[in-house]
Amino acid sequence: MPCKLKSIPGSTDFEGKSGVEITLEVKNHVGNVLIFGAEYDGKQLVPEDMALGRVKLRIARESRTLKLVFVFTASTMGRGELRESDGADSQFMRALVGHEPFQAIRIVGLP
Amino acid sequence: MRVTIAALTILLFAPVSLYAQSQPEECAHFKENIDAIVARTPAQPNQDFVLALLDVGAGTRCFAEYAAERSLLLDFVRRFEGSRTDKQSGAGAGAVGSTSVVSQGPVARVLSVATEYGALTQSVNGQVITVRGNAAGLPTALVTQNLVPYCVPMDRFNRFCIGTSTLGILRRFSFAVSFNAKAQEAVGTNDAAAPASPAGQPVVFEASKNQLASASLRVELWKQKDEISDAFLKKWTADVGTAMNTAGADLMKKAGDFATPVMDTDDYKEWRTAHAAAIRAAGTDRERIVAALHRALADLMPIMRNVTPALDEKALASLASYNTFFRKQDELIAEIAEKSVVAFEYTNSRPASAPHTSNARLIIDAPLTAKDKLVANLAVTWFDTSQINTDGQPTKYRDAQAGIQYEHGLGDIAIIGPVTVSAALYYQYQHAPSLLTLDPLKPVPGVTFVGLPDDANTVFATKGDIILGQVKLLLTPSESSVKVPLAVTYSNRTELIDKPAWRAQIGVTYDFDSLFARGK
Repeated sequence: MPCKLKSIPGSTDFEGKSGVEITLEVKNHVGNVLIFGAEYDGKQLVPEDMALGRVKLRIARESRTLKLVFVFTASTMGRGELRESDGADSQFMRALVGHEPFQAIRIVGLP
Repeated sequence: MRVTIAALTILLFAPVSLYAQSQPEECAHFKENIDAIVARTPAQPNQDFVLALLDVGAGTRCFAEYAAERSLLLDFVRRFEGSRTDKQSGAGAGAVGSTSVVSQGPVARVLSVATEYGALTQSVNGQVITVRGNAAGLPTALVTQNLVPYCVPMDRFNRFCIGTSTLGILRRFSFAVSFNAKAQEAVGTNDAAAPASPAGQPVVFEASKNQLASASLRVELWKQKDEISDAFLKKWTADVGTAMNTAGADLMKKAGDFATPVMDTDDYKEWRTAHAAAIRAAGTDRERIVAALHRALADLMPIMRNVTPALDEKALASLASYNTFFRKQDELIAEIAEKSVVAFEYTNSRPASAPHTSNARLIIDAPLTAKDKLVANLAVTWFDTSQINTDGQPTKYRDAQAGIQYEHGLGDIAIIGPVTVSAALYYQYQHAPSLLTLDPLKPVPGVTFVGLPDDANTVFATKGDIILGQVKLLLTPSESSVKVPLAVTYSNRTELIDKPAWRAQIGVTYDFDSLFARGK
């Protein structure tokens, strides 16, 4: 299946059809990285006291900000990337670096 | 004195003068994206280093650093004024009154206070209060209170900061001071109902030179670390969610409060479009890119202030949350990665009724599995001044000791919380007998001498080696910073009395590390 998010030209934002469920996952480059917290459309996507390698979310209507906090085994030297995955298909969304553990991504929900 | 004043001046004013930076391109997010643009680093699909450079949601920390620059002095002064207001916590095995047969490798990262009742090899029981601290305690507290920034190695700011490497070195050095707490004598009471348990006795902590029971310094000579094995990764994955809970949630809120409001605005989108074009026009010329970045940041601030009136406060709050997040993350990694420790400890003991002694101790602390570990000690004790031995010759060498302890974690038990059980074996070679100094004004508690000449001022004990076994439970009540060691010890003799002895020891340790961690 092809990925469901599409990069919005001239920005680092993404868009996708609202109501569609997408999967975001991390890929390790230096050390290991996990998603500690993910907040989207008023929902917490990672259960408390856990850190996960992937999260799922359903694209909301209109524009919403996905807020993420990542943890790194290599601390501020850690490196990785956030990708959208859908079966065998996968696409780059954001470079992850240990010195910027907080990331905010705009996702625009299309009708 | 001059050095001390200079050091204090640097400590107090460095955060003001150096926390702020006027070269935003030295902040890691900006620097790495500029490097990628200049080097024409191949980008992945969806990846654009120019857009990433200007993305408040991707480089929130560096944007907050820039926004906070002008308000740091005011904030620092305010917070400085406001701020005026598996560890060895008790005495080491070489100290009087300790409940520990062998000393542990790790110690409290900041400060711990322990009170322990019941000596091991000494025949004179007493209550000892031990304050143990770490050289990293003060710098850690400064970072915790956000008076000094926590270093991010990739940042190239020319400023003072405290990072994991500095704290790692300082944590190797620790100290402990133990005080005798004298049991208050009951006055005018023959009340049979009065509590007989030592635990019920009130304690008086008096200012007297004899109250200092011992002082020690410890340095960790060698640490084995493991930050890459499957065991480390498994433990980190299991623990990171809980360990980072507060710090991660705080970062999500504070960084989100700073970055996300502006990301919703059309002004931000227009700003990004205009300045992305300006940066692209600079090509791979670093100076022009940096100049374009400076203009972009200067233009962004009014836009951000328009949607976030208290932008300075939000920026400072988010930087504080980054500080705490990085520190907690490093502490967790260090705690999980730390394996074997080899430490050296020097203890000077100053018992009230015996010659003062010094003790040098080698400590080997080696985890075997996640729940089991082995701790071994080798030590030698000498008198601070020569004493006459039983053969009539003066000697300073008092005794040599060897101890080994096996610890097993039992896990959480109902409301008691985590419980550790340990078994220890201890051997003490007694080269010179124990000596008691007699002072009619200060009788040795619990000891009565019969038939001594009136002018006797020193008493020899019968010399003999000591073999001792101990079983100990260490209780750590859930949600508390308290540890309670309960121990039963059997020895073939004590230093003064040549008879087998059973003893029970109890202690209470308060670990300030967790208190500080809870505060942040």
